[in-house]
Amino acid sequence: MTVFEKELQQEFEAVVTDQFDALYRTALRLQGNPSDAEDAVQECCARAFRGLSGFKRDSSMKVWLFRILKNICIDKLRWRARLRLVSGDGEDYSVESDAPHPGDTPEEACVRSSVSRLVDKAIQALPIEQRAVVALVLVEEFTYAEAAEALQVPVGTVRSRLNRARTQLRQVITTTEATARPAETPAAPRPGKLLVV
Amino acid sequence: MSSRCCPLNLERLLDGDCSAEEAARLRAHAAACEVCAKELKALEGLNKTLRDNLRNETAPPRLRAEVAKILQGETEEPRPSGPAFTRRQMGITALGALAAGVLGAVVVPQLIGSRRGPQDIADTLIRDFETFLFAERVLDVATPDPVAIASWYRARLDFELPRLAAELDGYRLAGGRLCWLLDRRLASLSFEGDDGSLALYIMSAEGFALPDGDPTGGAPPDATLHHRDRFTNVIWREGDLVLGLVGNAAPERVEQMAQSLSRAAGN
Repeated sequence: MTVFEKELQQEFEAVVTDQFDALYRTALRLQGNPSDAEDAVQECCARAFRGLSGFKRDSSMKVWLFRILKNICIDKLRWRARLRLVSGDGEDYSVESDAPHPGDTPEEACVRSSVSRLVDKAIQALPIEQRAVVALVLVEEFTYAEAAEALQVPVGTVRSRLNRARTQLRQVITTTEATARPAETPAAPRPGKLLVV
Repeated sequence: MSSRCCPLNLERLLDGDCSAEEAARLRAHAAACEVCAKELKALEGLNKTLRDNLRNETAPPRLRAEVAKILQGETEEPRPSGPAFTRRQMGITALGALAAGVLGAVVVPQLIGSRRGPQDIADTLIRDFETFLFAERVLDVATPDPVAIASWYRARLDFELPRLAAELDGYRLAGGRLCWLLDRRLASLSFEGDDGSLALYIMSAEGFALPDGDPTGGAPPDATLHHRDRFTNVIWREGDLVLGLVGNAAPERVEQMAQSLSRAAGN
């Protein structure tokens, strides 16, 4: 192994370690359930590592990794949609299942079942391309330029998708909040209430 | 409310997509404009809700361990130069060689020599296509012109490509790569369609027995169908050549394309 290859490998391992949770969260947003998200991340890391020698430094390694993840997730979703078409089961795979997330303590599961689940559901209701920009920019704090490179779209597209996603999320979260709040409840914050808009 | 009261500007401000000067101007405006102040607060609230609720999710330890195992397995021994394959893959497929160089550069990896079973052909082609797709490798010759592609390969292969079409069944020819697989040099032509990507591998039939597989139910007559994960591979013989069409489109579409390619080649 040349020095260059060794350094590239070390850099890759460092980026994977650093971005591992972010990769998982992004896959979770795109795939909609933990099991498929885990598969996607595992596949992403393996494929990226195999293709490391082909990595061109026209983007950061972080962005390259998320681009591979996005491609894998879209491919999996496309395949799943095809299966659904064939089996005709009509199940909505784009919405997260009710299964608890692995590693959740009962308390964590309880918290998730309230606010986080509502937020997650609101995101899952978005089209895949909007989910991707929400995951990268709003959750993982990618810059518009980084998100554009990872998603292989112009920066303007990232902006407009984000704008549409925000509009939709605000509507859903506001509606959820209004529905959840009893008529006589004062406006003061309550535990588990969505403090948005 | 002025022309500056644009939600997109406020979003850019929050997301750090404007210069320090513009950010200061927008903040000053928001401080003086009730509409924008309210909008900014709402946007900040949304950002906070998303980050507070989603940013603390962590990958399961099991997944971390699985990936660490993959990387560890990969890094224990030096990999051959050129496109890298895992040791596990090399073991499973007895993959002897792999290359996809730019402008015809062909790298021969270390494991050469063992005779390939017919089933290895299907596995090897699918794995190469998978890696090409997900590692986003570049094409050696990127043009939709079949004449230019045939001409490019002429100096690099010891056989003539069958007749090609720029578009067939909704798949557009995008270019090709020169590969070293299965102990031989072969052409891999890329096709892009709205429902997926395809790669047509063309190689000399010398020393090959066609693998067993599902029948295709049509032309090409001796073609066999192979599936792996989300990929379909149709392999058939065309005179002195063996052709393998691998794709991530629906199996029936890959099969249909194989039939069209075979017909176009004059079979």
